[in-house]
Amino acid sequence: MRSLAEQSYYELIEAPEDGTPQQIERAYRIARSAYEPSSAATYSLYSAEDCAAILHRIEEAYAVLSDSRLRREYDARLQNAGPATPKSVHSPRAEPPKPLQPVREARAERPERPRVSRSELDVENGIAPENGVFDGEVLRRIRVSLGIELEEISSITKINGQHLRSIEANLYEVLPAPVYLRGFLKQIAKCLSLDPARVADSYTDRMRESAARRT
Amino acid sequence: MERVVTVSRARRLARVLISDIAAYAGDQVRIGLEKDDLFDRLAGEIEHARRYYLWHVDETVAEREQLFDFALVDVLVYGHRRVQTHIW
Repeated sequence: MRSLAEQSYYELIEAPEDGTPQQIERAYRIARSAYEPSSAATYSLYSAEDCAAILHRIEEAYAVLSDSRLRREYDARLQNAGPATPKSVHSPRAEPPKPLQPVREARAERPERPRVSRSELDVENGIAPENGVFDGEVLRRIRVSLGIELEEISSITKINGQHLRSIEANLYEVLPAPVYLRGFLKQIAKCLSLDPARVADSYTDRMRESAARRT
Repeated sequence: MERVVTVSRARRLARVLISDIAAYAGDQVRIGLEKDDLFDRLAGEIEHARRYYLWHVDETVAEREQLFDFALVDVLVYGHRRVQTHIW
């Protein structure tokens, strides 16, 4: 898949170039729903900024493809010079999303196997998100980028899967007592090649801020 | 996240994404298998994961889309083969 800016509007919403208006409408709705933060299963794969950038581009595509005159112009442009954007309708193109924070990519190069032993995951510290905050979403994005299943973390750390999901979903109100939570966070951090103390501090700081906002 | 250019990493990413669906929507997987509407029920989550996968996996990776589809069946269906349902 080409980058966001390189994809044609048809590629972006996965609609056929000769699609009917109904097909365009349907493709648009599916594409849009795929990036709306309504699913607990996928909510944190992209950051809010990335989702906004992608949704912006999808809206841009729909604005053109749902208008017969603009679509004709766009199709002609596509045939002549590739997926250019009619400037009369669009704001500046969104940058390609960067769904994951910096991680040690070499970690994911290992061959696939059903389980990863603790020793394989325990590596030196040092990975940090760009904004310095380790919340559940950041931890999940790092985990996915490393190719580590939640079940593997649970298997290695012996932390209950429900706790892991709650940590990644930032469901502070259902998390265990802070003393246990810090221990869990440190174990998760080790599995993800992160600085354990930093992750625990950052996460619990965020949790306290959230609690303070609620009171 | 850098571009995935090897089959092993693509397979790994697909499995992680699908297993996350199973982890976060476990009840829906079971109900979907029981009612035989698994892929409709989880269409949004699967589509989101597929787009994320295709976004990161290079087009040069052999059988890129099949790797995702295989992980889908392997993790969501075979991984829940003990669910009591009429579809088996």
